[in-house]
Amino acid sequence: MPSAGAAAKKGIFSARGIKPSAPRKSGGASGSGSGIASGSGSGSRIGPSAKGGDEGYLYLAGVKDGSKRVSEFSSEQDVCPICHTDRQFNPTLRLLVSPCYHRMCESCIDRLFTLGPEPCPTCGRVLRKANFQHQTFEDLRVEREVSVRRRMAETFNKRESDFENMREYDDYLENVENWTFNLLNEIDVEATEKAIASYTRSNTSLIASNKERLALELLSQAERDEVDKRGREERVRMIEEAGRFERAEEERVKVEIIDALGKGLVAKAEEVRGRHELAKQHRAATLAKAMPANQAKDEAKEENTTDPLADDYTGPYVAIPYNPPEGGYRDWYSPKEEYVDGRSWVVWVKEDREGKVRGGGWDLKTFWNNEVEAGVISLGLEPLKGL
Amino acid sequence: MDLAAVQNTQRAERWDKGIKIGEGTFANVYKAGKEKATGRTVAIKKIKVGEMKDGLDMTALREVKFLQELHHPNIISLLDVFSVKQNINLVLEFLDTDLEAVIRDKSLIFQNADIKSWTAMSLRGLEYIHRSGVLHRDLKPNNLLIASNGDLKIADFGLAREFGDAGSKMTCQVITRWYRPPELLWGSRHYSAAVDMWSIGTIFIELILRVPFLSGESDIDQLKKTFHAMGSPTEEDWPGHTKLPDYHEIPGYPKNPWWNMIQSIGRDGQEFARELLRYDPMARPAAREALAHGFFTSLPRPTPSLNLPKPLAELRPRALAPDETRGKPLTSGGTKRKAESPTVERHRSVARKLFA
Repeated sequence: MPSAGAAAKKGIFSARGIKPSAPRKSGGASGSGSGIASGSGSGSRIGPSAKGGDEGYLYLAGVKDGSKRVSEFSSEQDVCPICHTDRQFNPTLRLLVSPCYHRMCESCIDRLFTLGPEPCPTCGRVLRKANFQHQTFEDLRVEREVSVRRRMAETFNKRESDFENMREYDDYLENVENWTFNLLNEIDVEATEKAIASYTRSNTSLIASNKERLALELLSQAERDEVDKRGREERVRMIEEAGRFERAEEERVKVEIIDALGKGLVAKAEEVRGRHELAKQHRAATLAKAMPANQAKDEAKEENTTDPLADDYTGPYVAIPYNPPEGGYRDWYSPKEEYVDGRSWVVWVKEDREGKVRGGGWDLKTFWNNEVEAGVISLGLEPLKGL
Repeated sequence: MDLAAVQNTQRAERWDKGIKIGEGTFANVYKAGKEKATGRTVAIKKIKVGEMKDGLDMTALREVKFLQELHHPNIISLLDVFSVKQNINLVLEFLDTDLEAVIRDKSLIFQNADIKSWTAMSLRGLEYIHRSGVLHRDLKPNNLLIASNGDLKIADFGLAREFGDAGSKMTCQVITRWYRPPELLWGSRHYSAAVDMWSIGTIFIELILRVPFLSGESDIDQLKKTFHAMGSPTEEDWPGHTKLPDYHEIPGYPKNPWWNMIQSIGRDGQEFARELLRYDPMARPAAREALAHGFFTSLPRPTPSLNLPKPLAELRPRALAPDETRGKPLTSGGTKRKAESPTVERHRSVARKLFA
C-alpha cells in the first residue's frame, strides 16, 4: 500500500497546489534530515528510468504512513558500525540506512559524503548523501522488502478490470510475485530487471493512466468526505439554532399566558397557546424541509440500528442485550412522587441532616419503589386506585 | 424419626459425593459429586458447623437464603440442601471454571466481542439480582463462574443482602477490596445497588487489561490507587462525599483521561467504563440502564457463549494433595493474584445480622 498512499498524496497535493514537502514532518533537524525529506517527496521516482547511470536501482528505505508522521526505529543498543559510537556515548545518535542497506550514523554520513558520491565503506557501492533514509523496521530485511514491494506496486498497478478474464489476471499477479521474489532474494537480478524494464516500456501509458485514476479516486473520496462533513455541521448548527429559538419562544409564550390568566382572560390564554402550537408545528416542518432527505434518512437509520430496545429498531438481531422481562408487575402501578407515611425514620432519611445518605448513594425513591413492588407482587393484585 | 429427618435422608441419598476439589476460606469443602439417578455432575459444598463458634456460618445461611429464591440463567442454581451429622451440604450446579482463571490464562486471547459477551452476561444476572431487591456485594472475577457451555454465572452469595430499609445501616466491610467502590471505602452505611455496578466496571477493565485495575494493598491504599487512576473526586462530580463517616481528604490527584488505557475496547467501551466508574453512586447507571448502553449493541456483536475462550483441562476438578487441604489457600506462595473476600465479624449474633 505505501505506493498507493504516496501516489494519493502526490495527487492531492498537485491538485490543491501545495508543495509536497511542505506539511511533512522531518525526523531530524540537521542538514541531512532536510535532504531526506525532499528525497522522500520524490522517493518513488528514483529508479533506473529516472536516474539511470551506474548506481543501479536504489531501493529507498524508510516508510511513511498515511498520517505523514515519520516513525523511526531506534534502540538502546544502537552502535554505528563505522565509527563505533554507541547510544551511551551519544544519546542523540541517529542511524540512517543506505540504499545498499548498511547503517551508519549521521556524523559518519556527513564526514564521508559531504564532498560528493563515495563508495559505501561496507560494500563499496557508490552512494550519495541524499540517498540515506531513516530506518522504520528493526529488521533491515523487512525494510528492504517493503521498499522493493513499493517499487513493484508502483510499476505493476494493473487492475482486474484491465484483463480479459480471471486467468490472465492471476498469471499477471503470479509473474509480478515471481519477479518480486527474485529481487528480494537476489536471484537472476539482471534478467529480472530486464524483464521489468521491458514490461515498463511496453506499458508506459497504461501505468501512467492507472496511477492517474487511483489519485483521482482518492481525491474524490476526500472531497466527498469534506462535503459530507460540512453538510453535517451546517445541519447541527441549524438544529441548535432552532432549539434555542424554540426555548426562547416557549418562555415568551409562557409569560404571555400567565399574564392573560392573571387578568382573568382564560379564552385569550387558550388562544395564545393554540397560536403558539401552530407556529411551532410550522417551524418544525420548515426545519424538516431544510434537511436534505437522504441525510435525514441516514440519521434516522443510524439511530435505529444502535438501539434494539427501541420500537423502530431495524438493525440486525442482537442476541445478548437484555430483553426486559415479559409483563412483570411494573405496569400494575405507577410510583408516586412521595409517600408520606408518618413513620419517623422515613423523615430522617428524607431530611438526611448529616448528608451521609446522599454520598453513599442510597436512594429513597428506589426504596419506595422496591416496597411498592414487593407489596404488589406479594398480593398479586393491582393496587387500589386513587389512594 | 420425624418427617424432616426422613426427608433429609432421602435428599442426602440422591447425591453421591466425589473427590475433594477445593477448600474455601470459610472452611467449606467442595466436592465434585454426581446425582445418583442421572449421573449429572454437581458441586457439593460442605459447611462444617462444628468449627464455628456461633453455630452455623452466616455466609452459608445467606447463600441458602438467596439462592433458594433466585433463578436465572446467569446465576448459579442451588439444587438441594441436606445435612449429614453436624454438617450442612449445599448441592450446587457444577461449573468448570471461573472468570479469574480465564483472565489469568495468558494463552487465551480475548477479543472485544468476548469481553462484551462476559460483561453482558454478568450484567444480566446482576440485573435480575437487583430487580429482586438483593445486593450481591462480592462481585469479582473469582465469583463469576463459567459453565462448560460458556455461560457465565454469578456465584457466592455469602455477602449478599436485601436492599437496605430506610434508616437501617448496612456494613461497609463488603466487596473484595480491589472491586470496592470509594463510598464503601469511606465507610458509607447507606448505599445502594450502585456498589455492584462499580465492581462490574472494575471487572470490565480487568478483562481488557488482564490485570486487576485497582489493586490496593490496604483500604487507604485502595482509595489512593483509585484516585491516582481517575483523579480525586470533587463536590461537583460526587455531591456529599465529604460527609461520609470515614471521610479523610486524600490530596488532590489530577484528573487524567484514564480511559485512554482501555482504548482497545473502542469508543463505546470507554464510555461504558466511564459510566460504570462514576464516583457519584447516584450517577452510576443501574444494571438495567447499563444493559441498554450502546456498547452492547454496536459492532462487534457479543460472542455467542459457546465460542468464548476457555482454559484447557488443567483447571478441571482434580483430587487435592493431602497438604493442600489443611485450610490454607491453594494459591499461597509467589505473587498474590487473588484478593480475598472480606470476612464478616463472627462475634455478633448471627440471627440478628441475618435478618437485620
